[in-house]
Amino acid sequence: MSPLLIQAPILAMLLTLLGSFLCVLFGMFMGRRAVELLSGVLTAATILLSSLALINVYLLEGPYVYYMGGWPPPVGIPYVIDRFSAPLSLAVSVIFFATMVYSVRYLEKDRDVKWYYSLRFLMQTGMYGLLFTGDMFHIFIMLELMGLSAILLVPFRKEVKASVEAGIKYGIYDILAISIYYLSTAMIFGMFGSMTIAEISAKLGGYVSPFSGGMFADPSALPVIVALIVWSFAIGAAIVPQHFWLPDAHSMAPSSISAILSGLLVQVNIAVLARILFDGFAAGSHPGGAVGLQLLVILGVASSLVGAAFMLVQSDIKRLIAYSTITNLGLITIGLGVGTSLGVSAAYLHIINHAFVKASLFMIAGVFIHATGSREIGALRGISKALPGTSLLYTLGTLAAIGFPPLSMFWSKLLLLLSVLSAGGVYPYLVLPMVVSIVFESIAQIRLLAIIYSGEKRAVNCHPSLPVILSIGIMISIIVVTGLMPNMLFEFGRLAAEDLLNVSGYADLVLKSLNYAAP
Amino acid sequence: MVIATTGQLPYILVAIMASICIYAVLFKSNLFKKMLAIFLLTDAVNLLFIIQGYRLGNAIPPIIPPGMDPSEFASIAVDPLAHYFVVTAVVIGLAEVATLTALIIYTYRHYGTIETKKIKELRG
Repeated sequence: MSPLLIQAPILAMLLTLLGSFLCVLFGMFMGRRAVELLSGVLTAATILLSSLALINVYLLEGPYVYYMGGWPPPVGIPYVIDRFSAPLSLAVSVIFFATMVYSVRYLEKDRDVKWYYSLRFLMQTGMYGLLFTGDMFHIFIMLELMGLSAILLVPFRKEVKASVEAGIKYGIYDILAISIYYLSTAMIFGMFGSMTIAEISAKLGGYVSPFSGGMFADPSALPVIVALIVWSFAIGAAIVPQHFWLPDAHSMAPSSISAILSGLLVQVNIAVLARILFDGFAAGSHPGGAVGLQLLVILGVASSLVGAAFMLVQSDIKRLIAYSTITNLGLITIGLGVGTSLGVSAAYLHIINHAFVKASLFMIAGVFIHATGSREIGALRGISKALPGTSLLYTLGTLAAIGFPPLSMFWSKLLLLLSVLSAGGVYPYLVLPMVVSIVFESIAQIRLLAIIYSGEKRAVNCHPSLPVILSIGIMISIIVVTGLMPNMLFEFGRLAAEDLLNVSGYADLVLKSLNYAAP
Repeated sequence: MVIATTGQLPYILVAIMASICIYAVLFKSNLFKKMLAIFLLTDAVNLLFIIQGYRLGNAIPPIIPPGMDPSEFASIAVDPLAHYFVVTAVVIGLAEVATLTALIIYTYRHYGTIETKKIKELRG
């Protein structure tokens, strides 16, 4: 097997790190066109490398572990490239490429774009690291990388008063979340003596590591650690009651950044939380880890209801889309919290579908705001006559967001409802709040559509240029095409859930260099 | 009732420090105080790491003396892994300080204050 295929995801990470450095260098000596060309080429290359990794994992090699620097775990940092992380990393690459094409014309009037592209690359590196890594402390470092660049990108237009306020709000709470996560890593170090996720679950099952031995402390205190981790990621993923920073940050950032924040950053947080809970704390079988799942269900129900209720009263188009993100994250966390194979695969599909839908909605909202010069929903009256093509794309995106068949989010919402119904206990009653939140969200989105299609033709400041329409078109066509192939979607979700829920298989894969035998 | 032996005292100190910091971040209205509280929280965790890596009694630094048997060394040396975590976290903390300070300076330029109660452009 060729080394290029094995190293493809790592090369994508290294390319983005290199790009972050080169963007500043090119920007200083060669001007903005060079920076844009460089970031375009590098993000296109990351799509190619992520696709190679996906093909390798699905068709050729199967899931594998890359030892960073050649050190096998638990001494070194393992990068687990499996069927859970590889499709998500391709989604990251595609959305970063689309927003890259979009931002060339979107940021035409802004100065100092070299910092913008540089920070974007750093954020992309952080996301790849978070998706692949199998080490708790490495997650902390990558959270900082992703979080700090996102915090600096939210107030990129620093002359706007409100965007600086959104930035400081997001900054304080995101860094607090990362610090709480750091506290929980210290407690994990005290309890398990190891930071490798696979070793944590193996030690809960009685495994004795040749490096750190068995457990250092009784696992009865595990729920405290699990609760701290769920809290920290709930701030990062804006789950109620920690959602207050999200509408501000996502609505005040430049639209190309809102697309990434809303489409990827919160979803990556949820994906990492799922990896820690299911593969680290064996949430499916160990009672300590199961506390995390119960917390997720409760927070998810609150999140979906609160987000949907606030959507009904918004008058700002970007805030409306931001609250829709909170609603959908609630649905995702319910799916994860149910913890069955169907629930996890539904949540996984919803993560990917929601990423594309929400990123395209924010990109089109940016076009509307440029065209009308206002963020108010009322100002959009009659825009469909002035910008028919963009309005059609927005309609498709909205229909996907409210789960209109056969667009992609219909299938994942259907699967989420089915997973809740098929789980035992009190879970079937969760259908009620889920349906209520889906209906509320649909009402708010359809009201927005009705305003877009009503009224006389209005004057607009500018028409979107070809690259902008093209980048949005890529995203919308992905939504439509994946919606038309539900069998392929279900297969992706099923395999991802299989890899995530197979705790002993994950430990086997990571620790095989030690001739690890499952207890 | 004896609430703590000497071995548990440092952990209780860390718990008190962390609780005060989380309280301050959530309820103090001055942005600079919030920032300081976050870094104190990071320092409390650093302290927790160092305590967990330390051995009471005749511990030696994690550098192997010439001629010493590796297994004997491993039984008395302090844990170097904890120090690695702390050094990394300190470096990352520097980036946090730079980011938050820059944002607080911009907030002050726009609003003329760093009290969150007086900054009310957005509703949350």
